[in-house]
Amino acid sequence: MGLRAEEPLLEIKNLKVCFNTYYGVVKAVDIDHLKLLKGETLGLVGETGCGKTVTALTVLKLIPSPGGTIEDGEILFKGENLLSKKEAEMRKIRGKRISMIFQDPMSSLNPVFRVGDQASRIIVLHQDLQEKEAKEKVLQVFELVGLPSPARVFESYPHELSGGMRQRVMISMAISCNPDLLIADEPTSALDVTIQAQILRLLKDLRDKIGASIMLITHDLAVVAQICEKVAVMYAGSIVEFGTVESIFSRPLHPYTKMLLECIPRPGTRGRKLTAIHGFVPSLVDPPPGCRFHPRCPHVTDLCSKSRPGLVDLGDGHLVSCFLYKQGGGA
Amino acid sequence: MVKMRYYVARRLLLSLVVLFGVSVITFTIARVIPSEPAAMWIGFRATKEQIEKTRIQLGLDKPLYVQYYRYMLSLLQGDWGVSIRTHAPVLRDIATFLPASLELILTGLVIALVVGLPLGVISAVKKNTPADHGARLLAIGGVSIPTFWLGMILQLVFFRILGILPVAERLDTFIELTFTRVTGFYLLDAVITGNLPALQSAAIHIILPALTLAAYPLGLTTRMIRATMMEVMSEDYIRTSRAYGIPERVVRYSYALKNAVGPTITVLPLTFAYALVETFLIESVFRWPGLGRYASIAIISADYPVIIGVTILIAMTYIVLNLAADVILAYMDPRIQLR
Amino acid sequence: MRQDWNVMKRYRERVEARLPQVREIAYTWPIIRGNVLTMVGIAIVLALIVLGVLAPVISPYPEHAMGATSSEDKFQPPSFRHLFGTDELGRDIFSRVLFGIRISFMIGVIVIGLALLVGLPLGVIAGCAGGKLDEVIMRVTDMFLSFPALLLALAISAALGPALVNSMIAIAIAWWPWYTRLVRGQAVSVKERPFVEAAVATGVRRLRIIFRHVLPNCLTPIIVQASMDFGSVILTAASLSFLGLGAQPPEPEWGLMVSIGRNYFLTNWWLTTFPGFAIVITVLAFNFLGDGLREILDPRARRI
Repeated sequence: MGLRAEEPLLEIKNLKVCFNTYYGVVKAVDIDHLKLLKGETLGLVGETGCGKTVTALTVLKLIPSPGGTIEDGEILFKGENLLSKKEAEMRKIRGKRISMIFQDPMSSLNPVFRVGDQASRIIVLHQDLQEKEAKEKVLQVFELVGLPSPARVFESYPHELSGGMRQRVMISMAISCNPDLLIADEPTSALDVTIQAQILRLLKDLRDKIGASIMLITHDLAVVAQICEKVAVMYAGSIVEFGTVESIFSRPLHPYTKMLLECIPRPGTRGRKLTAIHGFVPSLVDPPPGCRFHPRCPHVTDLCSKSRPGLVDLGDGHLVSCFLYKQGGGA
Repeated sequence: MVKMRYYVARRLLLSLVVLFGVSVITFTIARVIPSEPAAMWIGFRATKEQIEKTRIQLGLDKPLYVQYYRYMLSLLQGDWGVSIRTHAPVLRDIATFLPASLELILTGLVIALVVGLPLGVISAVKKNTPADHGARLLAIGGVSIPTFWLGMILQLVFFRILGILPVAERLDTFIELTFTRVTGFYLLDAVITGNLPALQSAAIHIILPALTLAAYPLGLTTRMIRATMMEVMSEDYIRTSRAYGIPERVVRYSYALKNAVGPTITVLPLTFAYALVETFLIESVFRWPGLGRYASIAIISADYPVIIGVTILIAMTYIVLNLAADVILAYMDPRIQLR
Repeated sequence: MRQDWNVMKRYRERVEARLPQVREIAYTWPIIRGNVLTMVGIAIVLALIVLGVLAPVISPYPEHAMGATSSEDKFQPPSFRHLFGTDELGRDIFSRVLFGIRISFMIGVIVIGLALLVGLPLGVIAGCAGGKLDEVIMRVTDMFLSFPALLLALAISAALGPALVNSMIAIAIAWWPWYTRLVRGQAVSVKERPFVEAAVATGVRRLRIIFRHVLPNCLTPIIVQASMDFGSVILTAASLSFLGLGAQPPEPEWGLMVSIGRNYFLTNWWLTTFPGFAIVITVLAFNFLGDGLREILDPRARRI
């Protein structure tokens, strides 16, 4: 299916995901609208527990079934609604057209199988190649992601590799079938800062070389600044702001976004007290009525606790979910 | 692979130490605990002179370490005593009767694993469904039922009531007369010699005792696999394999199971040794001419050398099998070699 | 099982106010209650205990369990007069099975008691002492553990001579290493706890520390294991009796009854079926209990 230039690669509309737990129903995700264009790198930012990973898992329909329910919404991938697809169809998409890279490569790789075997299994499955040809391909991809001595890595077990190498292996598994969309869930959080930089550079490289579209999930704004083009800020399960990296970083609109940016320690602020956002992340079993951020917002008004602000477009693709702003610009 | 060799060497050394300890324990049981070790060794019906001769032969008047030395020496030389009942060397008797028991045990264990592994997987994956509850009930029944009683009940149902399976022995008497033994494994021998009626006869005779023997290992396997699978299925790497579109059946029986079988394999030697001991009970119920029956008759007739001999054999088997299991486990789970 | 979150909160607040030991039990009781398996196990065990205690009173023919015979009533199939039928000496099997409860439970208590008596001190000393003593004790334990329990008990029993007492001693000897190993593992971690350090610092004598401070805190897994072992011990004892090594005639021990009944059971099925069934029920009950306990104590299952 061909894509028209403006038609998004991935579009999430009105997504509501809940989990039944012992403590009650957790309303984990409530997204009005999220778009990712072809060739774009979108950063999905937010605190731990704000629903970023759940969103990613929902795209691949990997939400554990007793417990998690997708209550409503559409996830359009190249125009097709993934949520209406059967499991068998989804299996053809996973790893082949949409791939995911997970946070902790140590626990995400099967410890009793060789790394190369795990990678070639995927290729054999999705590309109908023989084992020998699959192995060739795997070695190529290993080289592409910058793994030293790919042949030796192929024969290794996960625990024999370093953290950075493991993550490269994961990345190579993800791109081995040339997916249209790559979802990276905190790919660098489990790694040292130096390795972090390497991996990010790798992702940038891949993006340029094979034109991958990437949804990068992270809590680290610095990472976003480094490789993303667009940013979506999530809070307590909803998108509160969306726009290009430039406009978000230079002109943050939502109070939460503003405070997030203020929290980053900068050179020159040494000796001063660190800014923090007061209050706590709300319980998602019993979220605050109306705008979920309003208990912590310095600009809260009466309206904020009564109804939820939708995402409004301020005209230049910069979307924000706050009553302070009106459609088309102006406050 | 070099790491592997070190690991094996280390485990071998440890096994030898344990073997030594086992020999001390069996020595204590054979010579120290009984009030009249000589009489027990040669039989209470022996004459006073014979008993006295045995006393001197075993060195019972000498200090303990001398006795132990003689004991070990004769063990290592292959002199495990003479059966009071059969008047044959114990070691020879053991060799004669072992194949029958091995055939029974292997058949039973195969049944236990072939049924237990999938049952455990299904039970873990379909947690809290009727399938799970049924499997768990079966498993807990398997480890709770006394084997001798189960054997009898099976005989009652399948022989007495239904009349479809034989009650005892390994072969029909007529077939036995013209049967050529090659390995001692009747199922195998029947195939080798192309004796179809014998194969059929051997097969229907082995069913009930093998099922009886399989009960405990089946229950154990199901429970262990269930426990480990439940842990493994919630691991991240399972989520990864699903995220790459691996079909669920492959995820369960390949990706997950390979991680889950570890503890079950560790327990396999214990299961085998247990099965060897269970044959004492099962073979007497089914009049199966194997080591177990030989040993159970020895118990009743106070054939002491046999009891000690079989004990030593089973303990040794257990130690060797443990070593084998550790090596196999290290091969399957590469992380262990590092230790 | 869905519980109201607020009810749980209030219950928790009430419990917090009580003593720590009470707290431990109070936390686990709702979970125990919710676990069907454990409850069934507990119920059966309690029922058995009651039946065993009342055996002399409720048995229709208590004298049959204590040696009397009745040759005219040989091999009677189950009827209203003889619920489980009669055996080869005309004795009422139902009464004998009831008395058998007493024997089996006695065996369980004595064997496990002996095994704990030997195993616990050894294990806790090994765990606390560390070093050479620990090594030696654990090596010896490993050697005993190289025998399947039934086999070791069998050999020792044979060496001691066929008698119920001897078989109990034999099984205890085969069983103690399990407890040693278990308690040693516990002791190794318990001894690192601050209150032990405090006791050492205040000059409490070492032996006293080991037995008064460390040991009581190691007991939880031991209790669980011991209750699960009760069934296995009874099974082992029955197996020994079946082979001729444990209880001797005319004791109404279940394994012995099955063994003797074997000679006649193809035509008189009730001789072996009922005593054996008693074994099954008893062992099942303890296994239910143990399984349930294990599930409860698994930290992942805890939801309070």
